Amino acid sequence: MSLLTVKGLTTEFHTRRGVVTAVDDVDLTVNRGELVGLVGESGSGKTVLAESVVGLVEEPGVVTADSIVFDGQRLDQLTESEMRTLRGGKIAMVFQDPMTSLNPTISTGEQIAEAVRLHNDTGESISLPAELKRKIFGAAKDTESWRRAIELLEEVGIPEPSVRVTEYPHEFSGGMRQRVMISMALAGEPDLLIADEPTTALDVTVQAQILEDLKSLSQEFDTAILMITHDLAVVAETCDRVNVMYAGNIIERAPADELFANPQHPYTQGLLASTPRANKRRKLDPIPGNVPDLTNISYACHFAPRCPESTAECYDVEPEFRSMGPDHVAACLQRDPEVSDRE
Amino acid sequence: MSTSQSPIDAKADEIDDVEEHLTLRKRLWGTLKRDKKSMLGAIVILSFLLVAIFAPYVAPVDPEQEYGIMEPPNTHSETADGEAYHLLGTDSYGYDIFSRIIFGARISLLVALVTVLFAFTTGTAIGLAAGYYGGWIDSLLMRYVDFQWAFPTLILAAGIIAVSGSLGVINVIIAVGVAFIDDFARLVRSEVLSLREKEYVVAARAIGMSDRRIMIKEILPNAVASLIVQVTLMIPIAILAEASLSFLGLGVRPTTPTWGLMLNEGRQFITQAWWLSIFPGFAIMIVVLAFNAFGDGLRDAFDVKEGEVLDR
Amino acid sequence: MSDSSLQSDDGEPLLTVRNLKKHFDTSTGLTDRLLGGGQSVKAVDGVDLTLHEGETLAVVGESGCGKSTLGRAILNLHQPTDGTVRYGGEDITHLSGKEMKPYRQKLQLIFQDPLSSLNPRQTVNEIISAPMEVHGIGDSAADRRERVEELLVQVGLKESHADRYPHQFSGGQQQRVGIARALALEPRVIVADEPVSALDVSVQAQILNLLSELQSSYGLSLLTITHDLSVVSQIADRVAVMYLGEIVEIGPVEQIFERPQHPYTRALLSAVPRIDAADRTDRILLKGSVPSPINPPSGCRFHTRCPEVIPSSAWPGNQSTFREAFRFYNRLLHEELEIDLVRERLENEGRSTDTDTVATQLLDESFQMPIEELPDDVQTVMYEIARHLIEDNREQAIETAQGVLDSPCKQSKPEMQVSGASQASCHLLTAEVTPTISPE
Ligand code: SF4
Ligand code: SF4
Repeated sequence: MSLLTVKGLTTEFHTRRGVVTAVDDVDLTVNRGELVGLVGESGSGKTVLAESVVGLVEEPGVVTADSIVFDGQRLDQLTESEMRTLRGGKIAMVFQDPMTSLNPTISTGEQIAEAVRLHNDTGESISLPAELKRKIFGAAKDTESWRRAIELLEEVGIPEPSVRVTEYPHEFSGGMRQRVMISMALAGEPDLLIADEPTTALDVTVQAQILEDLKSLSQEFDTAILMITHDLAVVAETCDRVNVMYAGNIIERAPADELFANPQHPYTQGLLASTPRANKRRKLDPIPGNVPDLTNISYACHFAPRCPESTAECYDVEPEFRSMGPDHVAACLQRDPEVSDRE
Repeated sequence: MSTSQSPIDAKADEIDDVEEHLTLRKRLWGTLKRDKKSMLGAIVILSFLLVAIFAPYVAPVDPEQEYGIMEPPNTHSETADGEAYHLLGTDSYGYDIFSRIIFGARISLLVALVTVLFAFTTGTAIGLAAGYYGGWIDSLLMRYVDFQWAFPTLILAAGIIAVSGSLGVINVIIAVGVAFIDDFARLVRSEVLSLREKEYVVAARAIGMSDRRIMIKEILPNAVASLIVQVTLMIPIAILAEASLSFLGLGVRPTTPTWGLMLNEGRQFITQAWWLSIFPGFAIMIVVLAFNAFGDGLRDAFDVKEGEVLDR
Repeated sequence: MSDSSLQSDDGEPLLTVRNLKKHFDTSTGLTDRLLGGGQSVKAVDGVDLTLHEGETLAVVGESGCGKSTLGRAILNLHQPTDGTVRYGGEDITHLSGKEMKPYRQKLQLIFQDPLSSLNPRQTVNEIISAPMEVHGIGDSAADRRERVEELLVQVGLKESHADRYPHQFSGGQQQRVGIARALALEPRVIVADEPVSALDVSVQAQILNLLSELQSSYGLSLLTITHDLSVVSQIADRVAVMYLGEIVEIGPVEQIFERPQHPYTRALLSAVPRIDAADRTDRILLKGSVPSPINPPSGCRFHTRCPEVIPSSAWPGNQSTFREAFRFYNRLLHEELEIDLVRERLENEGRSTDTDTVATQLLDESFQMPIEELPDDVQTVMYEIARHLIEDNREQAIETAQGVLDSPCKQSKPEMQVSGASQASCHLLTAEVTPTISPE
């Protein structure tokens, strides 16, 4: 059952140099409890897409969409304040750099407890004076929200939660901080967790831990995760379904196993051919050229200038999704529908 | 393959449009065109400079020529070689105020520019050495700068003049110039400290570049934006400092036409003849405002953040 | 300086690093220095390596392991605290700027962040010709310009790019400019510090291929510093794995990837996410975080996190129970067990705070498995430790713990052990103790 359905979403930024179409008429679906990957390189629009869904795009960005439906609710028709209650509640977010999203002057426990109070009925006052008092004089430790904060830290695998709960963000290592962010995101018992490059700033060994955590939490809480990353391997290991984005478009979508075993779009194929694998040395086949500047792109298939298979047609005719197999679509003019084993 | 050009690459090149590189000059011009206030400032500064340079041609009469004393503005006096018109009146010695303001621009602007230039070069040298070498060189130089910084500019300048024992343009320049060294030294040092960590400086060291070349070619050009802004902010302060010194009787010799001196002399007669001090005061105000407006524009153009230059 | 004087004899490595140390003083001001209040960060602490003609050695490790510092200390960009670096037989460790200059021509550097490694106010031509000017290569600016254009083509850019400024390029192109600058002096050795980690995936491969092409055409030796094991397997001949300032394992890339000897290498390899499902192995999850290099753990530096840590001879249980207890012990030593907070939590939950309850709660929170799974006599010891701690008797607690929990890994530093073409420093490779988790 689909939890989030985005239809025809476009996000444009009007800059002095022209219009940057960061997201170009994109559809996206996330089902309940599902782990969905959104992979792309820098400038592919993956982060802007997520920000557009939750209403975080700021001036001079303009978001238009045919519809954004989350859990039966039209997100594109919500007011800013309705959106705000949803964010951090039913839709939670985790970012690449946890340090910038944590307040360095307030204990992690109080920050989690605040999220708990805000999105749950704990019977504690969340009026401004009450919150201010907690920030200045420290949190009351005999409250429901504080106990919940300790539990949440425990759930995300932080050892000795009753000690760590009183510590400040700088006393945590990078991986621990990311766990704190995740526990805060879980405070509102979200249905959807948007994780934007959650492990990119972390070491591999820590990344492995966090990815495991995310997977098991998703199962435990039946939370869907939209995993935004540039790392194909991370997606391959964690996600059920994958969307590949390039220059503002989703160009291929398939179940993870299918995508990596049988990539169809020339960009996906190129990306896989150019990614080195640990333990296997092979000739890398890089995609020539660079990721395009998104200002006023004048050609139909955005991959055309770098595509080894492009023809004149690719510059004029916008490729629509073609079915490449069960649940597998790719947007490329050179692919015949339903013929899946074409190299 | 990375080194070979496929036809696709060629096609890609056609649409490869490159962001234009904006040199300092282009950015400056762009800002002036956009920002009317700083454009106005620039025009005012330029006209004052022109007036100062061509003072003998612009001034209606000789500033040393005496007429009737304290004639109000918009009066005429009869002299041997005809009639003289006093647009802004005459002062307590009978000099034509308009002409003296024009000649005064020479000294005031010259003093300000040379002062700032002096402080700029010395301060930059100190800041560069302190920031780049660090260690005891830094400690030594910056202790000196701190010491100097602890004194208000004017008191320091007055002290220097008192020690040197004589009045005159050169002494004013040295006094005010020395008093401004700390501002530049601090600014440059803080810039250098951040630039020193840049990888291109490490790259320069890895190449085997000499320290001097690294400082001059790699570091300084990247600090130049905030330095220019600082200069435009220091010039008006220098003008005011010169005026204040003259006002205190510590500036140039009493009969030299400078704005500060005129202001000082007119002060005694403010109740009887307001024009003696008001007009030189106006001149100072206009130039200072013009420099400030221009400096603000530069700050935007170079994208120098407020805190990066030392406003005082 | 004639090139032949630097020519290495057959077999003799081009670059030899012996017992290299770089410690940073954390003391900040004069007062700190006078009072000796500062501590030193042991970023690189006794590293041995060799780099041969034409080979690629990758130094791999996680952030903070000292790999970048190692690269810069080798190039004499950080003055080493101790040890020697020899280039072609000559000791270059403590050379001054001037004395170092001829060697600078032979040893070059490529950076991680291509944009910040290029001066934003200089054109590409100025950037690439600077090294030639400094070393007096080329007779005139026009001469050097010609060479710059040649270099640009070699790194896959165009001649016309010489007049552009760095910000007018994409990240991959900027990295190419950085490579061209390094090549301008025709060096013998290039230290590449995370050369592709700031680049997009599709561009990384371009740069990796370029590096190996250039390596064969120039006969370069590469010292690549990276955190990315996929990059290592792609370009390296040999790998050195670093942990907390030390090299724990070094050897040919195939051997290290297929038969890693050191538990840290094993954990690192198992943590790498894999695209191909068939490549995935059982993940060894490391607990805890990397200790501070100011006060590195005694004995084997990895012992605080090692999943294969060797149980003390007094330990009656198996290795996995020992590991848990040992972690508890380490936290005790680092004063990370905070009784007050545990007590407070109990209070807030309205439970009793007598010694037994607090002890149970403490052990409960500290062990990730039920404490009952420990052998009976060990359980008793653990409770004893906890009680000592609660009664504010830390010394007693530590003493009790020492008796059963002092692992050989904590007591003595493992020596490098040769196995095949690789070497690793782990007690498991010497001790009679059989590893409880056999490799693969
Ligand atoms: S539509 Fe054309 S340019 Fe685009 S991916 Fe397919 S073949 Fe390549
Ligand atoms: S010596 Fe001990 S702690 Fe170190 S790696 Fe080997 S088993 Fe692990």
